[in-house]
Amino acid sequence: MPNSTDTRSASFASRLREKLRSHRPTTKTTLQIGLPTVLLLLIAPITSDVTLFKIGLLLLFAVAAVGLHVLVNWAGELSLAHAGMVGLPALVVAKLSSDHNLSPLELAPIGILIGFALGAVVAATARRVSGLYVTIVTLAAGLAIDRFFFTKPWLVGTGNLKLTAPRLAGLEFGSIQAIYPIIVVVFIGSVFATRRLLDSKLGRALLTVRSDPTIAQAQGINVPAYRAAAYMFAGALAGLAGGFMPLWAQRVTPDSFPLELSFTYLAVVVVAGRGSINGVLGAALLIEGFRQFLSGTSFIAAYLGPVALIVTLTRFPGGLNQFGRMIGGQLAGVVGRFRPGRSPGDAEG
Amino acid sequence: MEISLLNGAFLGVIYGLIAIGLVVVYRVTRIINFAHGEIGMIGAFVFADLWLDHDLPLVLAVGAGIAVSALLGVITEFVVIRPLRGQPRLTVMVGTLGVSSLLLVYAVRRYSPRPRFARPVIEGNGFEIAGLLVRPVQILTLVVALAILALLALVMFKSSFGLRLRATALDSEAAAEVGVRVGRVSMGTWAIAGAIAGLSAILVSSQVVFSAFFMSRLMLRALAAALLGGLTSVTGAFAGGIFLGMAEGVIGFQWIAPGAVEASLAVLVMAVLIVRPKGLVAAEY
Amino acid sequence: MNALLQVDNVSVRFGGLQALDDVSLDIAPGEIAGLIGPNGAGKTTLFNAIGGLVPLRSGGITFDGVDIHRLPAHRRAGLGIGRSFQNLGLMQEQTVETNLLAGLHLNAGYGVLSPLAQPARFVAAEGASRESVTAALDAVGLGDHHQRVVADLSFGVARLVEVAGLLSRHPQLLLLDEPTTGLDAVESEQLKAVLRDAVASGTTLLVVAHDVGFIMDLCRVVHVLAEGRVLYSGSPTGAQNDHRVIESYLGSARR
Repeated sequence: MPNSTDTRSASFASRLREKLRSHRPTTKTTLQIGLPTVLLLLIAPITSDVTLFKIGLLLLFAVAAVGLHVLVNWAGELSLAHAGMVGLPALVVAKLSSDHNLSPLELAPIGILIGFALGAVVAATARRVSGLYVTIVTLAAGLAIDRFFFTKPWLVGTGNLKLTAPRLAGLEFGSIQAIYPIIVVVFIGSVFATRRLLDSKLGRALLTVRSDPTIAQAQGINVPAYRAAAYMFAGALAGLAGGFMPLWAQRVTPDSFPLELSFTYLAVVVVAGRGSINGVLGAALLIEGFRQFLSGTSFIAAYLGPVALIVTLTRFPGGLNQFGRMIGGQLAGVVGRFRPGRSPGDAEG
Repeated sequence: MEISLLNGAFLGVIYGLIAIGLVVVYRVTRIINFAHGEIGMIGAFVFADLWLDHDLPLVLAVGAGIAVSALLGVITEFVVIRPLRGQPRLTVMVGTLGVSSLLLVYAVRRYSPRPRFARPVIEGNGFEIAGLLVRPVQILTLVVALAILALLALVMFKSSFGLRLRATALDSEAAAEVGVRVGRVSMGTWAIAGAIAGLSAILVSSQVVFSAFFMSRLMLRALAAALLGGLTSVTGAFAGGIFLGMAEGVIGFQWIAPGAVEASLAVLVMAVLIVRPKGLVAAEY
Repeated sequence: MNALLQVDNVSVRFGGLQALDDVSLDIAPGEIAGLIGPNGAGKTTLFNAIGGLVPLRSGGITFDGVDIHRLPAHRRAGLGIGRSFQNLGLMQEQTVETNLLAGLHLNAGYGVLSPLAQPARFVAAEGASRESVTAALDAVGLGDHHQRVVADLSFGVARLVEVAGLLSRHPQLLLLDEPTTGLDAVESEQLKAVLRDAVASGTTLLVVAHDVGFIMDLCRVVHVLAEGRVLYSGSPTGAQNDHRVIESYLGSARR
């Protein structure tokens, strides 16, 4: 073969290029996960315990909100039971921990299962009827959790549940500073796991179902199953957030999960808008963060949720994500102008 | 047992009355108005303020309360429903949730979340039916509910507004093409629904714990009642309300655990939707 | 008789309207069949019946030897029946790439939880999906359209995107509902070439089109539908000379 070396070197070059290309996303992913993790961890030593406590609550709030985001902004469904789906797992974990002298850390994963199961109950109707009716079911489920489970002494105890000190594999987590990294891992882990799922066939199937169920069916998407899956996913993330609540808050009562909280979650995902999880994080910081950190100005704190929801819905339906895409586009334009080789004669990039 | 059934039936009149207002909106806009209860609640608060604190004559106070609720209905239509026309139904419903939350926040801040005194619009000793003491305001609620049903039938089938309303409900685009001003029909509907909400709330206020949440607490029961009637039938919704009330009377009688009614309601709603997604009765009106 | 698709005495009713009345037709494997008829003849309803979007009142449908008329729509797609939609089977607000990747749902090559459970398999399969999207877009000359949002495309270009997406799934049977409307002459020729390539690589086609020239040029077999009944099945030239076809079809066109 006359040009066998040629082909071989060419194939080597293309293999190398391929390898580099396939490697790039992993370094990118490492950065994407590592940078926020490090930043969040660096906050801990420089803040007071009170502030750190609020940050932890905010992170868990965001985890649950991401679940609702997938349900509302990707699948196009609606749930009014989200507070209950966080609260019930939280109370079960707290109760088990206090009754059986178990570490709330080891019990936390049970929260996911309970949340998932609650989602599955709602999903049973989602397989039969359209979103409007399922919304009524979620309202009924949320109310039933609030009025039935949250009033039962066998679940919520008679006063404060005394939690066992958190430990895992022989390690004791005595201080809030020691527990904080666990919350950060839960937050980062769920955000990136969700991001990855949304950027796969699951996310695209949900988009298609929301856009047009008929087209989705013709593409081989099992529409009722995917609608149901969205409810179960939202339930699982709510349960994850709830499951870690006893570990972080040390004290959990039904008062932490009022019916209005379901509305706050909804306001957050509406303000976030369709698309990226980044919008949810921004909206959670805006609405729940405002409430956590600036509760002194209670007038604004009280009206912020409903007003932000109505204004976003009717005036800026794209939400924060639309805003983010606009800024991103502008930035890309600016960066593009300074990129070398684009316009010869320009200074070095 | 008979007493709890009868007592439940009168509770059910309340649910049915609120459910009628939900159905009026659903028929035209095909959405559930989650702000219905709060729109009525504000009207009832205004009524109580004027009647009890400012000693206005009863009729004027009732009129003012109803007017405020009707106005709130119109404002909701203008601020939320109109800009969201053509959006998915769930989006519009989220908008009404926003309104409901906004009104609730306002009421809690303006009047405090604590229960307040409510005087029935008619007083008297009441009388006994089968061992149950029925208060005059309960009878009045029933009469008003039946009157609203009759009036709605008149408006819907005998007036030109009703014709335009039915056309819009059937197909709003087609209605617009034949010259129906869909925007006006929608606004009229919301005014009517708001007025019904206000009147219901004024009547109900003295029969339950009268706080900012009193209508919100009845919302799910009213919604379940409307659902039993298939969401589009006002008579079905009213009958559904009475059925629910009677069921609640029996459940509350047998099983006193807190939340038992809510838990049963959740199971019932799911069962109805899984077994008969179109509602239990299929009535046209 | 080894038909790929066999429609037997199918009837569909909507309330008082008899949309399909005892319709029977066979599609042989590798065939390009045309389905024509005046407006309201029931062409799209027949597609919906085959695809599983409307229930049959009576009759049966067999695909590749399997009785499919009770299967839900997504299962029929899983057996290899693809279809286009008159007003585009695409998500308007998404990019071309997202649309085509979404269309590869059944060909994704991984399970729903694989992105977390089997990351290596997921990355490899996604890479393969993206390559087939690129190949499909290149085949219709839209290789530079990956990141374009569908709503910003002309109807003709969007139609080519839709067909490219359908072909990237390699369906056994492709139902095309009015693929030529909104296409200019060049795009129409391009579409014809793409479809001929697809048939050469094993896809069977059933095409509904108003554009009789397109059908006559492309198809070897033509079925004529009018008022929910099959008027004629046979060669295109035969259809042009059949008096019933001329009466119903051309008569209505003149009206």
